[in-house]
Amino acid sequence: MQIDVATESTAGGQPLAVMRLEGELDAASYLDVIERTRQLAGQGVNRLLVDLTELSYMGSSGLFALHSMAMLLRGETPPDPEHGYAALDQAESIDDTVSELKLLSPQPQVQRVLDRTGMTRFFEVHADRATALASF
Amino acid sequence: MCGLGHDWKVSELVKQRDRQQLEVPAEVGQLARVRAFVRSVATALGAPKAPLADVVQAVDECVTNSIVHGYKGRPGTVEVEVERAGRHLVVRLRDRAPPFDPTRLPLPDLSLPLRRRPLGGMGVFLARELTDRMSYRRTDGGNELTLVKGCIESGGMDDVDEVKA
Repeated sequence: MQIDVATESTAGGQPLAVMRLEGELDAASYLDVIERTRQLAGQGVNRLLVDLTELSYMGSSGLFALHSMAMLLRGETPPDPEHGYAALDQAESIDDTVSELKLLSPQPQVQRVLDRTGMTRFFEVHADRATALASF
Repeated sequence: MCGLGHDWKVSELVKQRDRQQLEVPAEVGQLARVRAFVRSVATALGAPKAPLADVVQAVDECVTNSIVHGYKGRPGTVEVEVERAGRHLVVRLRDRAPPFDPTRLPLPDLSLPLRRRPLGGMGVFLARELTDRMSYRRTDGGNELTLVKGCIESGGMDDVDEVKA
């Protein structure tokens, strides 16, 4: 999977990054996405638009990644997935609607995963890039 | 018919009448290969695109589980067998990991707010949601998980009732 990041800023001057994912997001690649977000958060980025236009597949590891990314953007520390389910089940994560991370143009399979797991309740999904950027 | 354009080794791919098999090392780096294999075989067996995507995801989630939570980094293999039984696509996953029956896992509570939601545990839920039937049996030194999805238009062979778990 390929990860490309472009930095922009919101209308209010806040740092904003657009992360474009291309290919398939699975258990082999989700840690890369989290790590990239960790780097961005370390650089002061706390708003992220994840462009899913070219993402052809997302497994549940991708849901884990999105959840962890939202925590990182809030300055929180997500649990280490290496610790397995025990750590995951104990994790106190974030509040409902996530304003720091939004999603752009998921393909049908990815949209279905988000829908079936209830994740669209927490993450805004936009079909249009300009509208998505303006929503931050 | 299946595997065209892919680099399956002959020894890894056992072709029978309507059944194909792939064995991969228990490594997450093999997941893309497993998905490509299931896509390729199921397409050749006549599965339409949408239910095929469900089967591919269900297989990916279950194989991920086997590799990450079953073998936990220890060396091993996962065997993926795809066959057609009438209108149904049947996938059997076999490993030699410690006993683990995903059909007995409690379903996640999707009504929980994100703060109270565990970060993991969605894979098995998705696999169960995306297939018509999921059954487990402990084999001699391993696990066998059978996923069944009714998705092929024209009939031909056995019906799902005759599919042995």
